[in-house]
Amino acid sequence: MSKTILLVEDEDSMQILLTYVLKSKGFVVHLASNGKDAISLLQTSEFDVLCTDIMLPEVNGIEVCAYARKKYPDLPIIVISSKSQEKEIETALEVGANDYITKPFDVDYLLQIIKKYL
Amino acid sequence: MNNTEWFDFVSEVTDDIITRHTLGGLFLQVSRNGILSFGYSSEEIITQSPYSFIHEDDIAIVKNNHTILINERKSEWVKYRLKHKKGHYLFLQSYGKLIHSATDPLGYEIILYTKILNDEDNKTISCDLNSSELRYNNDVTSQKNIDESWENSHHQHHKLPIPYNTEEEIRILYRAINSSTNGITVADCRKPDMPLMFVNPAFEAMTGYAIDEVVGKNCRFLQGTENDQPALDTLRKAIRMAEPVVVTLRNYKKDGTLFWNKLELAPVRDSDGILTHYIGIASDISSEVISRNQISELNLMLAETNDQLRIERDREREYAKSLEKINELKDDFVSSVSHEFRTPLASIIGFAQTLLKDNTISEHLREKFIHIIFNDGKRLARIVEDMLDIARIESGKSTLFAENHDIVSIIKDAMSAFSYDKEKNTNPLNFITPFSEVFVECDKDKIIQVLLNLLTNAQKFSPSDEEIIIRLSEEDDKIHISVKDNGIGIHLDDIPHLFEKFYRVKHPGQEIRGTGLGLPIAKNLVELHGGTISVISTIGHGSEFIVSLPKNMYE
Ligand SMILES: Cc1cc2nc3c(=O)[nH]c(=O)nc-3n(C[C@H](O)[C@H](O)[C@H](O)COP(=O)(O)O)c2cc1C
Repeated sequence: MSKTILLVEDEDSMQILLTYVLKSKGFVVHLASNGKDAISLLQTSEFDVLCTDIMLPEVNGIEVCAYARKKYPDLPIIVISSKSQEKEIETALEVGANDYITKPFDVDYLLQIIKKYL
Repeated sequence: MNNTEWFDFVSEVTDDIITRHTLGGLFLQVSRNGILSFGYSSEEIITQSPYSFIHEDDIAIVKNNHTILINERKSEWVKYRLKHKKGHYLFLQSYGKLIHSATDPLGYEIILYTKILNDEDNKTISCDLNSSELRYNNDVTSQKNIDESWENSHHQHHKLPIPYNTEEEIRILYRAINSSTNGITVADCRKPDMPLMFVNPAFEAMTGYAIDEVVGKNCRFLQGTENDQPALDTLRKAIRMAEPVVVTLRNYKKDGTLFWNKLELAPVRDSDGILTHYIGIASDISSEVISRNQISELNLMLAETNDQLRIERDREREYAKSLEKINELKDDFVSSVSHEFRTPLASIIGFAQTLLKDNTISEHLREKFIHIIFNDGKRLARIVEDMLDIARIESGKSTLFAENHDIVSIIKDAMSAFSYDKEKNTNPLNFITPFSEVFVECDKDKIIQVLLNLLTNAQKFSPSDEEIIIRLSEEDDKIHISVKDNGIGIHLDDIPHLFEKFYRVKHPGQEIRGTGLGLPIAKNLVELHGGTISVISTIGHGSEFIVSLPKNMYE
């Protein structure tokens, strides 16, 4: 059975890139363009992996992480962000993210990380 | 100073009886106390021979003395009797001295120092002149008269404390005056305008004027043109009242150098209390005054320096604070710019990598990916452009190509440029204006940039379906363009910083992308046009940015 990924990303081009790459590797991709949508999706459905950006309109990625971790203690959470400062990485990990990838990233590396948590 | 003046001076300062005579003995001058003691007025004595006043029995001995003085230049005391105006005789003892004549440089004059003998001296006389028929019965009255005159002189307002009795003492006095380091001057108050009659060598040294240059003049010549010095009022008043006074005056030496003259004036009065002379003691206190002035000047400078230091310190503090702020802004900028760069870069690199590795991509998708790469490349270029823009504006290198343009069509151009990016800029635009055209002197491209920045800003802070309203209005020689959104609004605390470079409004729970340069660029460009930009905002109800431009830039 194919794994499901919740992808939270507001940038069009990133949505297209990640959806394509993940789909081509056999994942089922669910997309949310903002934090609010992501949380409502998390409320109703279960996913195998959560990949989220941090800078998001309305509700940011950190809150999404925190919510997801609370609801799903075992859910692998991978943050993909252009924020690269230590402080932000720490905050993300503190609220429950398992890993952190900064933009720009190597597509193969991202896939490796996701596989590691499955 | 000539002999007459010198004599006048000495006569004032001594209570001795001093007389000045021609070589032949005629009275030339009689000192104050001489006049008092003899009882004659000076008119009655001057140019008279002393022998007409001397007791006939004593004439020989005095004449003998006189001859020895002239021929042998030898001085000896001689005792004799002189007839008082009232008829009685005074017992006197005199000592003569030859001095150079005032009028004839080769000639001589005689100065006589005379003492009135007391009782004991009288006895001596009586012994000495034992053989002669001296009538002692006059002694008592004469002595009484002398005492009276002493009494009178003691009642005088100004009385020198030490009566000089001998030639030696007079010499000492004269020498003291001449060797004094203070300038000593004597002015004659009985003559019009109080001319100087004597100055000592120290005065000559102090002022650079020789005695002959100043005698006969009022001393005010030392003041140059500065006869309005406040201290002079004090001085004039004191002189008017015949009182002593101490003042410090600005005086000028003969060579024009300024010096501070501490002048002590003391009046000299005659027996009737009438002011006859003023004695002045002058000291050059320039160095004191200068150092005093210098000290107060230095104090002033010190105070100024302190003020300056305080200002500098405050400025430094401000500077440190603003540096801190700049650093913060820079950090914010670095992180915001890096974010702005990272997102399109991630897209470009990701798609390029996918295109390179994945040969199963359909032709359609391949084209789409390349298009995205192209767009994100352009976006990167735009960010770089923004940064260069602000750098150019800040360094003052941004120039305007201002011409008369229809602002209505400029706004329409900006709107279509904004809406061109259909994917991103989805907010409907609503342009409201009563005008079909309004001409404004401006740089068209720059105003389009301003409007695009404002529209982009409005878009960033509004939900994607909310309308953005653009209004154009006119007021006298100005136009106003308002860009209003119905977005989240701007917090009051953020408003003053909105147009600061790299300032990014913080909204709890969400972050808005941007270089933090759009509004600063807009503000700078509007100001280059001589216009202003302002903002009105309500949290939850959106913001309105108003650009006001003069229709003619240079009016
Ligand atoms: C004895 C004597 C000495 C004086 N010495 C000075 C002097 O050294 N420097 C000076 O400026 N004025 C001196 N004065 C003051 C001036 O002579 C004069 O009295 C003063 O300027 C005020 O008078 P005026 O208003 O007529 O000038 C002296 C006055 C007297 C009587």
